[in-house]
Amino acid sequence: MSNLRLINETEITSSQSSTTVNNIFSSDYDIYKIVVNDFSQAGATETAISMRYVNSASSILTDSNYDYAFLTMKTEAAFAEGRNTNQTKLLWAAGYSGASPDTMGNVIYVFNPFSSSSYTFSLGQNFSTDYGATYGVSWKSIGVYTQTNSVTGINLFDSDGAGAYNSGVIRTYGLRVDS
Amino acid sequence: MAYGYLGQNTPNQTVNNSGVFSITDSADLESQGSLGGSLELIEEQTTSGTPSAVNFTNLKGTKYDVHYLTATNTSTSTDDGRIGIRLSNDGGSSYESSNYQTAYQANAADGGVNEYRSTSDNQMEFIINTGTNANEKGNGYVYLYNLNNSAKYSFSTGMAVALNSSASLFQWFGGSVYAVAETINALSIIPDGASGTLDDGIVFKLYGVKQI
Repeated sequence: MSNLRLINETEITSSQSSTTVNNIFSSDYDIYKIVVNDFSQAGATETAISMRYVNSASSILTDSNYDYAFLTMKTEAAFAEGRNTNQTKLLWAAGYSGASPDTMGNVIYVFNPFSSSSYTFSLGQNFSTDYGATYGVSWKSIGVYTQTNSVTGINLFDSDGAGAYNSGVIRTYGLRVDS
Repeated sequence: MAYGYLGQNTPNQTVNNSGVFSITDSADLESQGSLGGSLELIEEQTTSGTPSAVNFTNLKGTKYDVHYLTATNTSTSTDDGRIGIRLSNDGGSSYESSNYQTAYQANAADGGVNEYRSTSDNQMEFIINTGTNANEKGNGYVYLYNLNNSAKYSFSTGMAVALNSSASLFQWFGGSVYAVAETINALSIIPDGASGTLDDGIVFKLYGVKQI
């Protein structure tokens, strides 16, 4: 068996502004690798794709306990930092979604989500293209959910309210532990 | 459903048993993504001599939309040289030398933190600033996305660490995009925008990231 195990693959095939993938975090693993690829907008307006966690009751955790920081590296403009504390989401955790052929790809690691005695941390790397690849943006980001609640899934959503996406895939892998 | 080797709690083996997979078990588990590795090594190549390029012409693009490419023990004929990636839309008969964009952050132990960006790069960036003296080598990886998708741009994100020409530690993190939406079916790893040569003994490994 592999040390990196594919737990879930969720493909987006219809227009939506919020996508929840639940029951992916469990006591089986401590560290998860989430590959988010190829979100594209149904309309012409790009939007930020942010992330929140979900609990075992399938409730999206929207409390103000998310801290994040990121660096955006544009191919055509000065780099920029973003950071904030006590927010309701991990802003731009999955970059942003544009209209096809613009696209994006992410690898996000999540640490200890199922634990009820530690915070849930994340770090990620992303690339998104914009306005017909007029430019591209590479990101690196970190985040933490500062509650010791056990979380069991993620919610990705259009945090700009700019419009729905209609394609994309989310794959979650667990890193093997020996117990 | 219970499986011969896994018990009921897939994908973890939580009980000891000596069962074996039946054909049905294997097929069912594979369809769930629970059987086999989550990275498939598509091809490994080690440079011999000083080649001008290393080409991968079998990407298994219809099987994978995300690839993972690693490089170890890299250096080129140029001091503080780069290693990049060029993409092919004709199976490796030719490789594109324009329409790349790049942005990355560089962290140097002897030079602080710097930005690099370009909307007219001639390659995807892979390994940056490797010296030519002994032990001045680079190591790193990139993820490559959507190579086989004719409707989307292909792009990369990656990170690498090297010793530069001053034998100081150097890191880059960022990504590149090939800003043409077309099917990519081969890639070429080159030194410094196709100038100079790769050194002997560099190991490149191309993986597919498992999907169902």
